[in-house]
Amino acid sequence: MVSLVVVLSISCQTYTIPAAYDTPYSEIRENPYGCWSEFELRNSASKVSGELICMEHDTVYVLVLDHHVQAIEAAQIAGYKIYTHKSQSGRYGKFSLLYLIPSVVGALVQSDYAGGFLSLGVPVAVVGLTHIIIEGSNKKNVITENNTIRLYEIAKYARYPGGKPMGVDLNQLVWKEES
Amino acid sequence: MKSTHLCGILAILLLLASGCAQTVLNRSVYRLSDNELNSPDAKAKILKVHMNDGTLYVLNEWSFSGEAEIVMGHGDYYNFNRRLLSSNKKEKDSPAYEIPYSEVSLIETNKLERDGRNLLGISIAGVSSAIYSIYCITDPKACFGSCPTFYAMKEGNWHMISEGFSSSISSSFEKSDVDMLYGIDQPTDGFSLKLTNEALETHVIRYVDLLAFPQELGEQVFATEEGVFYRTSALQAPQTCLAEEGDLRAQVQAFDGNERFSLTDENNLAGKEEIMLTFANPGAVESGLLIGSRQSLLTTFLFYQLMAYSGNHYGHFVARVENGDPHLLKRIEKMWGKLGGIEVFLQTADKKWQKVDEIEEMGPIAADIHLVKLPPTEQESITLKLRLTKGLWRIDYLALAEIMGEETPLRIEPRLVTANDTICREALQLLNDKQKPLVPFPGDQYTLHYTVPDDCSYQFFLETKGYYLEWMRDEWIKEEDLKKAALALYFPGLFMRKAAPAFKRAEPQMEKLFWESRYVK
Repeated sequence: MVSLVVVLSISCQTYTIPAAYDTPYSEIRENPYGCWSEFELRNSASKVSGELICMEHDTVYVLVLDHHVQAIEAAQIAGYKIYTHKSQSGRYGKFSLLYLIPSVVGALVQSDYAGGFLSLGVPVAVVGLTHIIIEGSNKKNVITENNTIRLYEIAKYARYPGGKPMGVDLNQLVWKEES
Repeated sequence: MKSTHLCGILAILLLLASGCAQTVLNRSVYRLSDNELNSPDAKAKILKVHMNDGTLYVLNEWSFSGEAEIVMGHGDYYNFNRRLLSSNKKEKDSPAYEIPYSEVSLIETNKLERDGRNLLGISIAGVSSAIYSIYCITDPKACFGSCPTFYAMKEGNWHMISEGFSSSISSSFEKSDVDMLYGIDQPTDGFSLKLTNEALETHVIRYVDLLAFPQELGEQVFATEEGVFYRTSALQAPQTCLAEEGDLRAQVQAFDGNERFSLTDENNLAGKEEIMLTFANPGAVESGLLIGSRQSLLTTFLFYQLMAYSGNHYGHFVARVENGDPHLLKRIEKMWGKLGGIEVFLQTADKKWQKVDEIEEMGPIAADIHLVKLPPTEQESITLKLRLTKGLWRIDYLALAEIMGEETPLRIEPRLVTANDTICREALQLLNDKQKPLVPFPGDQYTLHYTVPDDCSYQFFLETKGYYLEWMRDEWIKEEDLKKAALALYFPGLFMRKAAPAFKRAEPQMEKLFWESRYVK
C-alpha cells in the first residue's frame, strides 16, 4: 500500500512543460491546440520550446511565447521531442487506490481481520503497481527523435496540421491557458 | 500445489501480462485532396475538422453527406486562436453545423491505444478484490477462519497436508487425531513438518507424533475412524457411483483434489442426500471402503454463528462446559449430531440396508482418507450407500481395499523444533512432555524435525492431540442474540431450517473466499 502511494506520487511528477500542455486523458480527443514541442538546433546550445503551430515547406513554426512565433528551418533541427499526452500512471494509480478502499476500510472496521483484508488488496496493489511502473518507464507519450528527422510525421501534432492557414497572423497567437 | 492456488497465480500473471504496454496516442489525419474524407475511423466519437482559415470544429456527433459534400455535426467551433466562437453540443435539437468540403483543410481523429486494456487489467483485479472485501466486511465469519494446520514437503514444496483436532473446540472436547500424510515426498535426510496457527485462535497442543509404517510394493496402510491401522492391497475403483447429479466416478477415482460436493438444501441445512456405489466383491477376504473427504465450511459457519449469538455470554457457556455441565455438553453434541457424518450402509442379501459405520472427522482444510471395515458378504458385488448432509462433505476418493491385517506403527517424536531458523528447546520439551502443552498463538509457526530410520521406505501418518480456543471478535458480539443461541442448542432441527437462507447467501463464494483470505500474520 505504502509503495503504491510512493509510486503514485512519483508518477504524478510531470515533465518541465507548462501544465496546460500536459494533456490529460479527458482532453486527449478534443484538445484544439498543438502539442508541446522541444527542438534542438544544430548550431546552438539552446533549445526552442513551445506549442507546435504548423509546418510549411521546410519550416517549423513554434509558438514560444504569447504573440511570438519562431520559425525554424528543417536543416537547423538536430532533434526534437513532442509531448503528445500526459502519462496515465497517475490515473492508473488513482483507479488502483479506489479499488483498494474496500480492503482498507475492511482492515479498519474489522481490525481483528486486518491481515486478511489487506491480503485481499495485494493482487490489486501488485497489478496497479505494475501498470504504473510500465506506463511511466518508457515514456511513449513523448515522441523523441535525435537522428532521423521526419518532420512530415510531426505535422499532425500541430495546431494547424494542414499547414499555415491563409489570412492568419501568427504573431496574434497565444498559448493555451491552464484550465 | 492445489489447483486453486495455481489458477490464482495464473490469473495474476495474466493480469500483469495484459498491462505490459504503455499508452500511445494514435492520431490520424485525412486530407480532402486524398479523397479520404469518408474514411475516418467510424468508431471515433470525436471528429476534429480543421478549416482552411485556421478555425476548428470539434464535433462529438457527426456524419457525412456525400452528395451535398458537407460534414454535419454538433460540437464546438473555435477561431484560429482557439477561442470558442459557438457551441451546440448540449443542444441536440438545435441545427447541426454544416461544413462544406471545399472549406475543410483536413479532419483528425485521436485514440489512446492500449489504455482500455490496461484499465481492464486493473479492473479485473480491483473489482473482484472490492467485491470480496465488501462481502467480508458485512460477514467476516464467512471469510476467515482456520484450525491447527500442518504442512509437509510434497513434490519439493511445502504443502498443506493435515489439520489437527478440528472438533476439539475446548479442553472438554480434547482428543487425539490421526491424519494420513498422503503423497508426501519420501524423506532423504530426516523428516520435517511445519506447524502453523493461521487463525484468531489459541492452540493447545499436547503432542505431534509421526507414525511410520514400512512401505511394501502394492500395499498401503489406512486408518479407521477409531485410529486402528490396517495394511491393505488390491485397491479397486467403484464400478458404479451415482448421486443426484449423475455419475461421480471421474471425481472419486483418485485422491487428487478433484472433489465431489453439493450445495446445502435451501430450506434445511441438515437436509440429506445419498450416494450409491458398487464394487466387485473380492471374494473371501476382509474388505473395507476407503473414503477420502473433508468438510465444507458449513460447520465453521455454524460454529462462528453460535459464538456470535452467545456474544458476551460465550465465556460463561465455555466455563459451564469445562466445569462438567453434562446438559450443555449434550446440547452441543446434539446440534452437531443434526449435521452428522458420512453414514455407510451395506446392502444385504435380502436387499435391506445395514449401517456399517459413520465417518465424523471434522475440518474444512485438509482432506483425509478413512477406512471403513465392511462385514463379509457372499454377494457377487458389494453395494453401498453413503448418506450425508447436503453441502457438508467434499468427497475426493472412494475405493474398495482388501484388508491384509492390523498394523502397529513405529511412533516417532520430534527431535528438534525450530522457529525462524532458531532452535526452540522449550517447544521441543513441551511437545515431548504429554502433560504440558505447546500453546501457539495467531501467526506462530514452528518447524518440527523427526529422525526417520533409514532401513526402508515408510508410509507416514500424523497423530496430534490437543484442543483450540476460538477468539471472540468484537463485531461478533454485536450479533448477540441469546434467543437464537437457545434455539440452536434446544431446537437444532428448527435452527438448521431458520439459518438456511443466511448460509445460502454466503455459500457460493464461501470456499473461494476462505482459501483466498486465510489469515497469517
